Amino acid sequence: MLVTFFGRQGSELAPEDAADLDAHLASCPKCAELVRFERAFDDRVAKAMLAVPVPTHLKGKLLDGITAQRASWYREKAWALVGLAAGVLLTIGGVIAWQIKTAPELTVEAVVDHQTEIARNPGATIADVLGERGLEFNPERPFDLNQFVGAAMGKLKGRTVPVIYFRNGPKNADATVFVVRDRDFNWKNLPQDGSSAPPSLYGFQVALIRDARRADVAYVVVFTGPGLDAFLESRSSA
Amino acid sequence: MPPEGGAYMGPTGSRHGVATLVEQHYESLYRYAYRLSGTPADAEDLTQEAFCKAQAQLGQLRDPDRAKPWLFSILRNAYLHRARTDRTHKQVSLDAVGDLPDELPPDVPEVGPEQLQLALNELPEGFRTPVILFYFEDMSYRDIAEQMDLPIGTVMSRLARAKAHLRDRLVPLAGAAEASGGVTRGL
Repeated sequence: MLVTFFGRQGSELAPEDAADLDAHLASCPKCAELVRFERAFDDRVAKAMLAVPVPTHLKGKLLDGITAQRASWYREKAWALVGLAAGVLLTIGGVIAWQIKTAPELTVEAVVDHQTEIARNPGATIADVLGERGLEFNPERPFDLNQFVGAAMGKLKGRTVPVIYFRNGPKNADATVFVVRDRDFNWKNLPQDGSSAPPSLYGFQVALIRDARRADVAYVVVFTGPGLDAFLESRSSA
Repeated sequence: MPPEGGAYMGPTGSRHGVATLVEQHYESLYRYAYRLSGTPADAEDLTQEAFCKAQAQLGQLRDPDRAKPWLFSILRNAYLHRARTDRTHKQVSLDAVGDLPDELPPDVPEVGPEQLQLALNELPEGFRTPVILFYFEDMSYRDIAEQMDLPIGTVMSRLARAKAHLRDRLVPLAGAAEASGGVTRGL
């Protein structure tokens, strides 16, 4: 196998090994003859190995082949995207169709029944809405639930909070009650004693009512009309 | 190589990048394919297949300087894949290749390319590949070992035996048969 090293790749030997080998060859005619023969043989074989005529048309054929493959790849990619888009559209269409098919039917009776249930039991409606935020409805000064109009989540200064609406028909007055927590709002600038701020240009007044059980919860009441008492129990009916 | 590696990036590679590889390496690849397969038609097909695979896998080529061994590796894998289903080559046993005789001829005759191919065709692929790569310039033992995923010592051993086979076939040595006790000339 040592003879292999004498061939064309002899430069891969470490310098010290190559030096040892050269020293040996200088003093050993038999090995020197072996190396001469091996190198001559390698030269002949290497020459023959590389003597392969390359077809003149080959480069063009190869370039055409890779171009065709690339075009095919783009076509496949395009079809895959079209398929994906069609799948997405079909899915969306299916979901919409399913929603339409399973949507509850609205009738006059159903709507009236729904509103009747709210009117009969405003406490339950308020509890549902406040329950979404883990709150209960316990204002220190109870509202007159006979004036309850509705409750829903609404926005106050960009934050979503439970909102309850009241209307005092005889006095043509409305109240909107935002249920807030002290970690969401700083209410120290609002009247803290239950009194209301003076009416604004459009007649809105603001009052703060504390929660009876939780110090971190309060009710910010924005109302119109003669005063806050118009929406509270025992006085509103007067 | 392009000055920037960007030409070699992307899931399917850029046509420009592969075209550059074709320009630079198609002749070497074709010669390698020819020596592996033994026929011009198979060599063309293998070269085409190798470049198509290279285009599809171009993102795997991290170092553009290693493009040539990478392409050779792809081509060899393509050849091996074909060879598994096409075992038409008769191969000789290398158990009894001859040693060099004590007295060597003063000159080594020219080796004909076709004569060389016939001798290569007789070698099992595991011996043919290293000897082909060995005679391709700038392929070091390390390159060959990486190509074949073999230890460098195994490559050298196979090279020695494959070269001995070529020598038996290509150089008439008067004393070789006597020295080795005869050379196996068949399966």
